[in-house]
Amino acid sequence: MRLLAFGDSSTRGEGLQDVFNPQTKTTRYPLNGFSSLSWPRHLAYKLDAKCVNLAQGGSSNREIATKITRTEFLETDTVCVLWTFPQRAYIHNHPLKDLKDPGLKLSPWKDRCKNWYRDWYVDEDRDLETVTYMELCRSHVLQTGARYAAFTYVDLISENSKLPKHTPLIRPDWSCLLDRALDGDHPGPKTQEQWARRFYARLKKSGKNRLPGGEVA
Amino acid sequence: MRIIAVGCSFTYGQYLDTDSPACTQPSLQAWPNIVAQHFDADCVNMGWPGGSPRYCMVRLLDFQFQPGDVACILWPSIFRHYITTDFDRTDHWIDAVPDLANAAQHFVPQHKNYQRWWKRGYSNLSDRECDAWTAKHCVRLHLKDQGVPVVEYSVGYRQDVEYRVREQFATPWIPVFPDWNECYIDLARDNNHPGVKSHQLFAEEYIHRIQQGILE
Repeated sequence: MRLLAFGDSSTRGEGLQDVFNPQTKTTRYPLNGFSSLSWPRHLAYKLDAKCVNLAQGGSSNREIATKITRTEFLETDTVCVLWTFPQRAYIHNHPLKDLKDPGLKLSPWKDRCKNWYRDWYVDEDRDLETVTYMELCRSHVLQTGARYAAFTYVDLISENSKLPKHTPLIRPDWSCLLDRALDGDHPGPKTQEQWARRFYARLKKSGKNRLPGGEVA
Repeated sequence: MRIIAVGCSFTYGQYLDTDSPACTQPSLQAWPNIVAQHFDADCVNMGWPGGSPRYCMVRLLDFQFQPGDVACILWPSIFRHYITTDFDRTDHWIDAVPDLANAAQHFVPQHKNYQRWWKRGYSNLSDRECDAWTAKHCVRLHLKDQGVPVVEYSVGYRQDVEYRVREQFATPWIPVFPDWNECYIDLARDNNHPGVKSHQLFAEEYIHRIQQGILE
């Protein structure tokens, strides 16, 4: 059995003590590409599954969705997604079936992206895109027969937008993190464990109430 | 039975009834209505000028389907885009072809803001292709979940009609109308869009596919 996790740096475990050097303020991941203190690793341990952590720092929801829809899933897989900031964007720059050439990650917190945000950014549109990807990926995974559970750690932007019921917030807001990682930005080890417990609770519940197609109740 | 059609001006039937670009309601001469009449069904035509794959997706995801519905999609050009907006920012690049009913803008290559958008590198062929793929995949999964049969085609263009932006004819995973140029036999009043006879041929394609794949 495999646990496949998708998300951004918070899922990869950026800033955690096994990968972050506070002196140089640099992150170095082991060969498997993620922190052993990240929530997917904790969750895989609880599920007795092989952990495949496909998260990447700075990922937008569009990039996460692209990865999910390009991944081959097995019926025995458990797929967990922690969605990220709707504000982030991604411009594809590669042929449809060739992801070797990465696209352009856009973030409102990067100065080099300011023109894009000035010219093109609309809250409602980012929300629409995020909700679309949440729906798309859920349907995409469920049709393969794999189990699916998803949270987001960032709420939608516009007051008129609502998260789908199948993808709730994993915490009330950013200030509610139990702790911070060594870099001061990312969730710390206790928060990662808490998030793993939240995913596990949903998956365990689904053991009794597994919905047709494998969705987690 | 209802025919639920979505697409762009080719589905709306723009310029079939009038010379004016103003749009109030889809033409009764457009192919969705002909298909519906053939099956003695009601027609819900959600085609709209400037429509994009993303527009089609948004409309179909929002739509309340009933048992017996058949979705008929004429996928628009992948180069088009659709973006929801609050209309408050008049200086914004998103000012293109407004869709007031859905608080959105249709972004078409002919518009100057689209050309700025493209030149700045805010999108490209691969980006459009991925966006269109997402829309189409999302719609197919949604319709499958809803148990709604669907007939899909993509827009192609008559090759002797000059467009300001030459387009790839279709996304590779959905067929263009078979023998498109044979279907596109006359022009509407603007000498650009398909005419009444063309719409009848479009309708025949959909009718044939519905009879073959859904009713049997």
